Amino acid sequence: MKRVKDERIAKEANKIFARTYFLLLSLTVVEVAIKLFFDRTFALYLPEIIGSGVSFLFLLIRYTHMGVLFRRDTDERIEDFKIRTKGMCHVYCFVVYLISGVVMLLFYPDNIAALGSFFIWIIPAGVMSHHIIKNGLLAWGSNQSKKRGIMTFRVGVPIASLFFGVFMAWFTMDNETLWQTVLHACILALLWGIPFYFGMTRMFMKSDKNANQQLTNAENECDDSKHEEY
Amino acid sequence: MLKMNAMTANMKNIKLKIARVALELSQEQLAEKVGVTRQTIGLIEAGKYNPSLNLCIAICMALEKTLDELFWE
Repeated sequence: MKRVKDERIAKEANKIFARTYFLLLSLTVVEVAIKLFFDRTFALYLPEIIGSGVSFLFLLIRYTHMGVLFRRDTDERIEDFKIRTKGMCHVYCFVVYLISGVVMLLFYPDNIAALGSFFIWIIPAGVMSHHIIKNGLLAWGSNQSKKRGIMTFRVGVPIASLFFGVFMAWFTMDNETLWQTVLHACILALLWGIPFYFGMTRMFMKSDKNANQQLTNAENECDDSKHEEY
Repeated sequence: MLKMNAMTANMKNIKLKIARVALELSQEQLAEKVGVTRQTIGLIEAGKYNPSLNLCIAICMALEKTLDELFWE
């Protein structure tokens, strides 16, 4: 889905990612504490080590290298650097948890402790989505970008849905005939694809509306200050 | 001080807006040329967002103006 690359949106998005990074880390600590009750196999904790451990270490090293680890001043460049670094760490950690959740499901399908990595990203994802839509950051940019983006979206969602359907039907194919598996995959694809398509479309519309409202408020504020002057 | 700030904000709006209108470009068209969203151009014109130097240069090139003409007070 090709959208316009906008520095304002990138900055605002990084701020949101930076804020939710420590939420993700906190949830990781809670999840590990709960997981310890069920299973202490080292392999089950690899997602948390590779995700949160490596990202936090990277953050500490980067801050120390730039000499800003314990700095508390309000220099704009330093604040920007810190936000970008936290944003990068969050994105890396999030992707690791997403991928490892799938891997854990494949290798430990019956182990309840393995499911922790699969669900840990849901709360931060929800919080990030809410703020991104509220701040109008899901924007197409122009009508041309919107047309291109919608076409890509309409092609991408069915493909992703089919992939999801096949992946989920994979686990039951041993006990089914080929046609049953195909039907199973199609039903799962529809169950995921239809809500996702309409959900995402609605999110884009809401975000666009919020962005326009933000702009209208800014323009009205500007006009009000002009009137006050006279 | 408050009046001067308001005047300063309005001067920024007018310069950029005039330059854009002179080339008969809408905010959307300028945004497409520069590579940002329409809302970003609108917020810059309203004085609510400070663009980076790269974005200022991109806007100047799109509007065939210099940095002084659009962004210097």
